[in-house]
Amino acid sequence: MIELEHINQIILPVLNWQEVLEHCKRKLEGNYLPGESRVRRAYGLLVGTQDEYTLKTERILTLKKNLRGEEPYKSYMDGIMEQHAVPSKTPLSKRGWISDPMELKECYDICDKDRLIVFGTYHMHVVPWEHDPKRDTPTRLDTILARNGTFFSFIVSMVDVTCPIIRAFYEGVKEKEVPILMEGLNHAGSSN
Amino acid sequence: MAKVIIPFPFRKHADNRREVIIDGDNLKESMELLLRQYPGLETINHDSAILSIFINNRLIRTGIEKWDTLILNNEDEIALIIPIAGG
Repeated sequence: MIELEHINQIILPVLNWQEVLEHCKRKLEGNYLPGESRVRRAYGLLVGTQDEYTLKTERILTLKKNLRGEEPYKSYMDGIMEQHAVPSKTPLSKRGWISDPMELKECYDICDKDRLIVFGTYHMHVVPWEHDPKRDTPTRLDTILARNGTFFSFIVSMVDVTCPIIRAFYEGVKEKEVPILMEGLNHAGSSN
Repeated sequence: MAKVIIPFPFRKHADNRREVIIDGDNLKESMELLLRQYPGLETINHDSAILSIFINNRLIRTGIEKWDTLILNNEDEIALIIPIAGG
């Protein structure tokens, strides 16, 4: 099997893109599901199939829990954030997210059962920065946290919710961007 | 002898295998044998602070439970999970 770092195209059906968007919008509106961490962050997994150099998204698996405030994850994230996070108005302790290993294991088990591969994670950026107004690329922190992950990091820019953007970067590295082909989108930009 | 489930991000370091049967009477021995067989899996240790190990779906408290006291039986299934994170 060709390794993910050599992939040159990712197909994202528009219905899956809408799922990601609905997840992001719901969290931004502060609508939380039972058992979901009450944070305005949305993240999850893109899973699907591989045909040589192309990945096709088959399913979006949203992740509910954020263990950022719990040990041992808190110390781990605090250490990385102090070193690599770009300062902002939000205190470091309130920034970043880390998934629940049990929830992640359940997702991996589903994928193994259904013969799907996990090839990416997604999360959203919402606050424009002076030097990066669109926020549609990984931050240095995103890159550090994605290292050795052998996944694609999908960055969803929700800075302008009327014009969301999604881009994919292997291991969260800006120079390793792979184009996303939105499947099922007509020329007018709406789904068919 | 136990079955180790290799997490998705690390399968490329284990010949793209989902699972590996490994010897060892306890978790410590099995992990050492696993890393000896697939040295690329050492990358797991880069994030050892947040490595989660499940034995038969029970989360092991890695900082508390001593690995050499966790005796493994033939049918046991070990799953290794590194939580994903972002900024």
